[in-house]
Amino acid sequence: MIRFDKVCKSFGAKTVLDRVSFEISQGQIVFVIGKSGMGKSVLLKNIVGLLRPDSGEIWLENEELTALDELRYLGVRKKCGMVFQHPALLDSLTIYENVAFGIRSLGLLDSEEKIEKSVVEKLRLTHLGLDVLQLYPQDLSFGMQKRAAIARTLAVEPSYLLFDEPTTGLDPVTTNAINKLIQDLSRQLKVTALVVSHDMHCALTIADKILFLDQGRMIAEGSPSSLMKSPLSLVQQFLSEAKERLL
Amino acid sequence: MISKALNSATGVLEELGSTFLFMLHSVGTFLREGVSFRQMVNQMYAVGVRSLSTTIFAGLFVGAIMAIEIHVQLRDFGAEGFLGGLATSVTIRNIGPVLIAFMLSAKVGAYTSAELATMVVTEQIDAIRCLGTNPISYIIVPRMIAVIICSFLLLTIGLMMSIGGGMVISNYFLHVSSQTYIQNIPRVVSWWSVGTGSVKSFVFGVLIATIACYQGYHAKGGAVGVGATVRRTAVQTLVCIIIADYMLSTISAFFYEWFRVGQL
Amino acid sequence: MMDTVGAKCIAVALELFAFLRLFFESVVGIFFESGRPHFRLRQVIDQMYAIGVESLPVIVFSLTFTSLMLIIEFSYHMKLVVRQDSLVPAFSTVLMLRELGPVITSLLLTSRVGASIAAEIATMKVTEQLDALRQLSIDPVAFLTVPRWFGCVFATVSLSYVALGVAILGGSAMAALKMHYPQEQFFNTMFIFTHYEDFLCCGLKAAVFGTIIPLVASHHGFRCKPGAEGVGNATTAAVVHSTMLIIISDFLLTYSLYAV
Repeated sequence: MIRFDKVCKSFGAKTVLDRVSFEISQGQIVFVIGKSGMGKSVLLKNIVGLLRPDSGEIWLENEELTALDELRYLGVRKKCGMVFQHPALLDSLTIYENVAFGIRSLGLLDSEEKIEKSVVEKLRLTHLGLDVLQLYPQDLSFGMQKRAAIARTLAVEPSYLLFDEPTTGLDPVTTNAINKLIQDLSRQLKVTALVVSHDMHCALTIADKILFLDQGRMIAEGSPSSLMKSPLSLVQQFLSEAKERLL
Repeated sequence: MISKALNSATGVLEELGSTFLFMLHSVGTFLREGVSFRQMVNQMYAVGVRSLSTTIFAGLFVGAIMAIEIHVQLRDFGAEGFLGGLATSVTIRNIGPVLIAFMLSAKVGAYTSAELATMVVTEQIDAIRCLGTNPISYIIVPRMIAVIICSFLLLTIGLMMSIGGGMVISNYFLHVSSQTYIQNIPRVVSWWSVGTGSVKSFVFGVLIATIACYQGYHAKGGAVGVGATVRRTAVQTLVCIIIADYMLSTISAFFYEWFRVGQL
Repeated sequence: MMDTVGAKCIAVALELFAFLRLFFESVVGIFFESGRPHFRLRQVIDQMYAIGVESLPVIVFSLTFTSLMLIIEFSYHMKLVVRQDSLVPAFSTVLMLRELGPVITSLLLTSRVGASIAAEIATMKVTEQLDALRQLSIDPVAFLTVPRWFGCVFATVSLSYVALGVAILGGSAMAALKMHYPQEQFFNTMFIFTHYEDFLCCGLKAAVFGTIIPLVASHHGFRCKPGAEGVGNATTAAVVHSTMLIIISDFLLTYSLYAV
């Protein structure tokens, strides 16, 4: 369970989050939809503590996050895996070392064999071949880098997955594959997924719940079917765009 | 006009202060968590080896330039015999460290800050934090130590090369034989000069490392941001090197007088 | 080992060749653009302002400190060699004029202006703005490089002189305060050794360095590879190569002007 309670965040004079409140229950796939540059990524970064809110409360299960110090945040980050907008793989490490990075850093597994087993399993989950293990990130295509980044996040076995625009800059085929991957992962591993995106089409296909963020405000929330009846013009704009793509 | 100048002055002071705090923070992290030896050696290799040939070149040329300049001045007095000593002393005490450090601030400092800035804008640093590793101890500390050590070593190599450069140019083009050149060096260059040169080299290394790491780690704004970071790093390093050079020269001169008077 | 050295030599030669091509393109670009006679006066004046005026404070500041440092150092050396420091202003001024004035000015401009030209053009390349320019049949070399070239030569030459003036005054003040060296004596000794040619030499060196900076920077900008990494690499390479070229050409100029 993740709960936001009147969270505010601003950079200088620009208010990015304005009293945002919502709740996500276990096992759901939730999409946050909004235009670009409207603070969707900031929302995710507030959960994992890369940014701290100005006011308000963020609850993860039974813990209030905003008051935690950097050391206690380690526990939160173990539970919440974040997949960044850029693949954000470390250039200087091989794919194997990249995927194993979190396991080593958090000290999750003690022996090298266990680490290798876990890495191989995560690559299988994200449909990557074992031939990429010794390659460097720059040798992979953008789509494969994204998959490797997801594998790296999965390696610490989080119970929440946070995706920051997972399909931006990808072709439609890869986009569908990544969406399918998110759906499969959430079913197979029983994780809660919070996806930030502007792709309404994907949201309608796989989301259990959709939140609309506009100019820092949460303007609408509900299941895909209930949003169809929303009177708000922004929601309707996004919906009609998605319908066009379906045709 | 005045308020503009005041604003930029406070801006400079703020930047200076936060750079210094960043350095203290890194030193603190180093003392608490140590440094991964492998990371550090990797960085030293990456920074040192790729700058070696450039530094040797720069050293040779700086030595040659200074030999010519000093020769022109000594020629008027017919004191070419002093060329070796004076050119070497001027080069290793002040001009050499400054010009070679300028070279290194581009080759080492700008490179390091560009690399770090790229890691920041492609969210690699955020990813490291999310996976539970402190980026200061994993990324910054090894780089800082590697850059300090490498800059110092490279500066030393460059300064030695400058002696060679001066010698070659005077032997072939200025009609001062290598033998006279070398024999004259110990008459002017004392351990005090060598020490001043080394201290300057070390301080310049620290400046290059600190500014490059601070600017790189605080980059923002995509590809444009990376370019701007490199520029800021280069300018700040150069200005800081010049000011530090002046201060160290003053301190060196002060202690030199002090010791000499003390001995009498 | 030999292979890598050979490959490196070929790479350097190719790089030099591409750079020379850009140089000739720029020379042509001063007067012609896409075959038509054209001179972009507006851009030239803008660049002169942007490069020259905005770099003034930092260069004056740095050169003054350099001059103070030189006086301290020369006083140390003169005492060591001839046991008195009465000729300090002469030596330090001559060295400032012939060597450090133009060199330090242009090295500072390399990092300040060269880096920003490289970053700017590299960003334009990455975001396909250069292609957009060509699409409008505007020649990027004539449009971007040539005005910056004028701006840079103007900046290096004029800033060297202005900054040297301030630096020498600063030096004389410092000599008067700390070494009890009277002002008029400072300027008298200074003019004994400083010749008219030294002023010309300072300007010539500055003009050559002013040519190197924008050309190397745009050379690397035009060849930038995509992404944030590409922009970073182009900017770094621009600063490193200009610094290197400035030191080498300084050697060649010093040698041909004095030693022959």
